[in-house]
Amino acid sequence: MKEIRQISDEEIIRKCLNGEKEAYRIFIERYEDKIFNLIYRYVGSYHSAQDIAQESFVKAFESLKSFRNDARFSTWLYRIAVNKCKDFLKDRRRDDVSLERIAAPASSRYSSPFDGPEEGFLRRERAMTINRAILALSPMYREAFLLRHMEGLSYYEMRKILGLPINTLKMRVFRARKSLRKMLKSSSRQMESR
Amino acid sequence: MKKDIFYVPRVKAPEGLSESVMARITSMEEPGRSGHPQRRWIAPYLPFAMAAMLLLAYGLGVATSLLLSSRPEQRGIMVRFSLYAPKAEKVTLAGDFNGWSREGDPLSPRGDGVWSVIIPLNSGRYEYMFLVDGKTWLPDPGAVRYTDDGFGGKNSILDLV
Repeated sequence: MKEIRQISDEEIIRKCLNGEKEAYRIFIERYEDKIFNLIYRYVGSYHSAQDIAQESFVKAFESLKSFRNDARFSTWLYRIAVNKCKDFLKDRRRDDVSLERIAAPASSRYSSPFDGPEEGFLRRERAMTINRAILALSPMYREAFLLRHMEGLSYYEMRKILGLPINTLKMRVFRARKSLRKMLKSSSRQMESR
Repeated sequence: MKKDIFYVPRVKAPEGLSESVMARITSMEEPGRSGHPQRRWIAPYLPFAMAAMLLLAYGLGVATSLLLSSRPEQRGIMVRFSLYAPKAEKVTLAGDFNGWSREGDPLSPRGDGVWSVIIPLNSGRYEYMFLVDGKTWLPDPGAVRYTDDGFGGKNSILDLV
């Protein structure tokens, strides 16, 4: 029997379309961290990210028949997740996204087992500051920044996901970085003046 | 090494995500079925009745049509897929019936700019696209329905009910 990691995405899709639903579990386990991470950074709420991630995987399963092999499955899945995030943000004002909620579940994950108490604290503080800054970006800059910097995607893949010209995407990433840099600078000035 | 000032640690998916998704899809139909009997063999007389229900569009010489001369021995329906593409050097048909293979079903030029291929299909709902010169995906302008392909484009739908 093939090991799970040896089974290609195409083979899993074939199995699912032939009625072997259990094969879809391999997809979920293969991509859940990537998808969840993107959604979580996009919407800023751990709890909502759980729901959106679940919805994204279910939607991808329902639409498997529509998946052509001209793109990677992960790219297609990212697109579904990004659209779900957009729908989510449309349904609620951005102010509703509680920054406090980000800190609770995430803070424990920011600690490295090798950190001393102080390093751990600083690392968490820094990560939370950047996180807040990312969430303060408007969604169009946020999504471009997350896909490029967090997920490390190429502009070609981003074009497939967001359906925008590469030059537009480059501009958005550039502006997002500029804006983040500004926000981080102002935030560190505030911390120093405390 | 250059320090990434925007570095944020990655967050792992919560435990139980795969279980909750699997629980939901277990109770669902198989992907894309949407209530249509998929690839079910049909009685030989049914293609004639179905012909009336199917699209027979020939706008601008582009169409996918059902051939009434279905071949009962194959227990399927012969469907002609056609595309008007006078400048194309190669046209193939890709759909869920051939695993979206880029080379699976090549169309032949008829000489007047129209390319076509006839393939046997069983009843069910199919999604397909034409691939022109190995790089341009085109939906069938003659299709009755389309569905989102997940990338902002449209797949053509063929219903053989």
